[in-house]
Amino acid sequence: MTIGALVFAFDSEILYSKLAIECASRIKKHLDIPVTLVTDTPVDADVFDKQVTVERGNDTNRRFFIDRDASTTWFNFGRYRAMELSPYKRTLLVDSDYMLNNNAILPLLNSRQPFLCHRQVQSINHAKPRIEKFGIKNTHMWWATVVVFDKTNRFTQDVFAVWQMVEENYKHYADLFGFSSKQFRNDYALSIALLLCNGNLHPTQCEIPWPLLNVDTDIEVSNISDTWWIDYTDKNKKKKISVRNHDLHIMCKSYLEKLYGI
Amino acid sequence: MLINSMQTNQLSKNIKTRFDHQQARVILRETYQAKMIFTHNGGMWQASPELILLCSVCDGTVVLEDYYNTPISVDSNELCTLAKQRWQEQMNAWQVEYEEISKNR
Repeated sequence: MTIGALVFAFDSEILYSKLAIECASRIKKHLDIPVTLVTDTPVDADVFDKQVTVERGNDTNRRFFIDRDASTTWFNFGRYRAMELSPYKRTLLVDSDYMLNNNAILPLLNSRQPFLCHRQVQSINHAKPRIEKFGIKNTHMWWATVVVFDKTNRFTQDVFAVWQMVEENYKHYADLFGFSSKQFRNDYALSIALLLCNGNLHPTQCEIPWPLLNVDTDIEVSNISDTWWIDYTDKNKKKKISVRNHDLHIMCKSYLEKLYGI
Repeated sequence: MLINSMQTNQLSKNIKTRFDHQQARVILRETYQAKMIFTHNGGMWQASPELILLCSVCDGTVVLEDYYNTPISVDSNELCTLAKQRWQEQMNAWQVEYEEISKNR
């Protein structure tokens, strides 16, 4: 059985390909599995075992990043192609801003669960994990940040097929579930796909057994050797914590760019 | 060594920033809960006193429910050893890191 990771990176004002290099080297260090990059322009980096070049497409999203104080282009379409593009039987699909700091994902890759992703999320400065909901039906949101899938499994194939269908008919699904269609979100497309493929029941068998740890855009991060320092404000008081052995989804891209000299 | 006003400002900012022990412990607990997960015989298990106890009262091959409520046939002694090993390793590492962050100011 082949196991490997897949990272998508399409550069805009943010150089996602540079973030992907850091992400890939962390995957290699902690999980010791091959990494494939999906991009529109090949990257000069040894860390990738394979690079798959695809067309970026013309569709773009604009998203306001607090840390950059500007609106930024964001190419997040076509993520449903991960199944077709992955050279591995069991794949770890991660966003390039997901920084691995331990090997907790390994059991997920070695399990028999056909499809796994996060439903619970925890902000680094909050005491409890939560489940995000979207649309007028309060549909549970499943995060597309980290996805583990077995491409030979029928359920997985159905999820990716519906993910594609939702992306291609996003306005229709946005009207149906009652959310804004202005900005395409893979999290929403994945959530709808999982719900539909699981017969309109919450697919609890797909849940990664711990919450996704998010570092929100308004939080400062710095990295000293293996320790991440997180600075935030709580009730007008400046506070900080250190995190060493936990994977972090760092949403403030400008700090990552600063850290890795991008 | 001379310290200019900008450096003084940065120093006073650093001093005012308090280490949030409570939040650091919450995140640390999440870290080690995640590390308690392991696979065995195609099932996903969470090393815990409950699992160790359950395996201890069983003998030989038994069918147990894994993390995803899937019935899995396992050798209870083998699963017990793995669960105990994982649990002790991670509890020890947790304690070491807990002591370390307790020293932060």
